Amino acid sequence: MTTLTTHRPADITHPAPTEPAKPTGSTRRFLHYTGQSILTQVRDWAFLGFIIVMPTTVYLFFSGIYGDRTTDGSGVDVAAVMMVMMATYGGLGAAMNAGSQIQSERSSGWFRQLMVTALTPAQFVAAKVITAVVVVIPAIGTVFVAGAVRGVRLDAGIWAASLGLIVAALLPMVLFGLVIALWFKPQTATAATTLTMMALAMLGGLWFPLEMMPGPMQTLGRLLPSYWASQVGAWPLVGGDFPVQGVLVLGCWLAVLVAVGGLGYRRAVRTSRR
Amino acid sequence: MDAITLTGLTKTYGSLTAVDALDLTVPAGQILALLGPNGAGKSTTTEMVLGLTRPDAGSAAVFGADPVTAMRRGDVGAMLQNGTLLWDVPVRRLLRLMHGLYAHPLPLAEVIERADLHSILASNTNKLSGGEAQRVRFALAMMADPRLLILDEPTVGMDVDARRAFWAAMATLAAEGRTVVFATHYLDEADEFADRIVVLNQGRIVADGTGSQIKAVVGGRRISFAGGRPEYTGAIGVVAQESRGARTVLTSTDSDATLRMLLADASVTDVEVSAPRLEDAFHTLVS
Repeated sequence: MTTLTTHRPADITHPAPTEPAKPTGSTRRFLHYTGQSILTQVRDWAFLGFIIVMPTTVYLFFSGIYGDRTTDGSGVDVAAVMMVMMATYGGLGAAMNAGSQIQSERSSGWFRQLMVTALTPAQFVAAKVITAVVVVIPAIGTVFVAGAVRGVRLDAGIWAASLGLIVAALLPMVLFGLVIALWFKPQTATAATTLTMMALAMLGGLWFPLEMMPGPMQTLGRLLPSYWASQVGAWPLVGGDFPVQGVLVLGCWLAVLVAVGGLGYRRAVRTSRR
Repeated sequence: MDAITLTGLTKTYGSLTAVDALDLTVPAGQILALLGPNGAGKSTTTEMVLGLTRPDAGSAAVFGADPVTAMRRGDVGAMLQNGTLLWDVPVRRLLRLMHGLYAHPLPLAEVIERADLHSILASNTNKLSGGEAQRVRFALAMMADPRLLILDEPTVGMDVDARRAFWAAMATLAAEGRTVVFATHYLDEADEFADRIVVLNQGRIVADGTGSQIKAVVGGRRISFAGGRPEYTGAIGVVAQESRGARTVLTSTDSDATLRMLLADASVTDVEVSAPRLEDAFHTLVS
């Protein structure tokens, strides 16, 4: 203890550094926090079960029922397309989780503790968004592995392209989770997130192909980002024209969610004590 | 340089004025206690000094900078009131997570040593006792190697031994020249540990001085006895009266005169005279 008690911080005995912390230090802190958030998330077994075990199980179940048939003409395995749908569903759960993460840390008061460090609120939000995007990858990847086990055979490039496109197309869904967290009370936000996710999955044709649904529901489905995320993700497999319409729909959702999220963020900053 | 400068600091929540045009300067190196009943504005004041809450009017400066800037450059460490810890992680991981978030943190081994966390490093944060959780929060407060420590009711939930150990560790931090500002309900602690006590009520400063000065503001003695009259209102020197079972307790600003008057009454027996504790001084001040 003697050595400890003689410790004197440099900036007590010397004049205060007048300039704020160097940007390099700020970046280092941001990367540190992002890394720790990802680590915390992947050690959460209940969460992993939710985003990995469930879609994988559902995939294996459905592909077991339908998997032997091929889609008309194209020669693409139904199991492969279904795999992309289920992978999108798994990724959807992971993507939308960033919002509830932020909200639970805010309502528990842990966020306030983080705000008495050098971390900024924007870095906090950015780290949670990156965490959500990163966690989407194992959620999709596990279903892909299950697909490979079921006998889906694709070129390495197609696997990678599909994975990358699904991750990119799920970006609006990360924002969707944030928007819900910003506009709902903590008690209802988790339920609202789960319900929204289920609705997006079902109406967006991730559980049953949109083509099996009645006309009006197909029209509705084609307006949803979840449908287009799976269509964009399946494009490397099924080929044909790139679904440009899907990119437009996803872009519209992104724009609206950014706007609503921005309003919600301003409101949250105004009304809360952080 | 002053550690904290508050100028006309004001915060309202709806119709409630939590902090009312507060002016306060805390020189560097001072140990200051903020005393006050619940709702006096202690927490709101500390939150504004930490940059967690924005004032409606006036300003708070920390080492000459705005509170958020001071926080980012590692000048300030804090124990928040009812501060929660990240749920369901081992203490070691929590410390490692937080250690990367400061501008110039103390070495982790030193933080663990000073906050006495060796025995609970492997414990999960949701299994800690109240006192253990407070030790972890204390570790987080000093981790920044701050020049200013803000502690909002730091010893809540600690037993007597833990409290003693906490103040011993805090004394070491203060001896290194750090400024310490703490809010507390434990008035003995304030009297014992602080150089200066600021008493808040309804968002305003009602007293500001050393422990003995605060007592001098009340300036009275407490005279406790059995027997006597039921009513002493208006009697010489008496400013307050209360009954404790069979005994009467008078607070007097002129204890000599009051005692002469009392002892002339043969039914008054078993007289005790005491200087008021800070706690009593405090009650008189805020009532």
